[in-house]
Amino acid sequence: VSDAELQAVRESLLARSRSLRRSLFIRHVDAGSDGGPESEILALTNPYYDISRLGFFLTASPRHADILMVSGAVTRAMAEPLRVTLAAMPEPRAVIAVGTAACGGGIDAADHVLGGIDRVVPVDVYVPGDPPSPLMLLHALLLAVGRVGQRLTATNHRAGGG
Amino acid sequence: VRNLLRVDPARCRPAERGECTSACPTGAISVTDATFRLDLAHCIQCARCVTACPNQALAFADDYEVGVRARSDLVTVVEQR
Repeated sequence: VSDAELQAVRESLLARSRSLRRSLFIRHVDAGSDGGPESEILALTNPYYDISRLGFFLTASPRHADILMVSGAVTRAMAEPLRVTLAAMPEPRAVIAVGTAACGGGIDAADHVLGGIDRVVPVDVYVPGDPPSPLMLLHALLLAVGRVGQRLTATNHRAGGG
Repeated sequence: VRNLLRVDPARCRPAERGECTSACPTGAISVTDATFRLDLAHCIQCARCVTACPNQALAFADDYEVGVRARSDLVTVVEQR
């Protein structure tokens, strides 16, 4: 990789983190979830976690949304609606895979599902957990907009390492 | 809600019996003679491997900063020493 290419990547990341700022609206799509991640996403809006103090709001329309949160292993019937939802969102936008099923299929890695939303749409942040807790989702939201860094990597999964 | 599964490489002995693999209902854990591989994108935190492991190498962590940008960061591999 040349210096010029690195610089281009750096500038695009910088522009992206600059543009996803201030108030951000979240659209959530259930692509075959068991309901666990939905419960945790809704818990984000309660007074205890209160994501609106950080400038995040849930919205009902992808046309108003900056961030798409997708849960579930993507059933065949939900693949096309998921594509359409992402296409309806304005740029810049970020996609978060919420939960084990959305990350890689989870327990539902069977024939009726595609096994992870990255088979359908590009994913910016993966949150494992079945379901992930609201604090995990909060970290993922802040990671998606560049307000915190990534802590978990392939080498620090081990006990005591992360 | 449980937090994520972690493996202690100092205790893990994948070559011995591999109880964790047979206990896992989703195939999140795979073991060969030399390696232990855990994929958090399949782990549902059922804790069966935690009780099955004879060496107490598996446990749940208590951190919540687990969002990652790359799918490959959800996979951990322990080499048999």
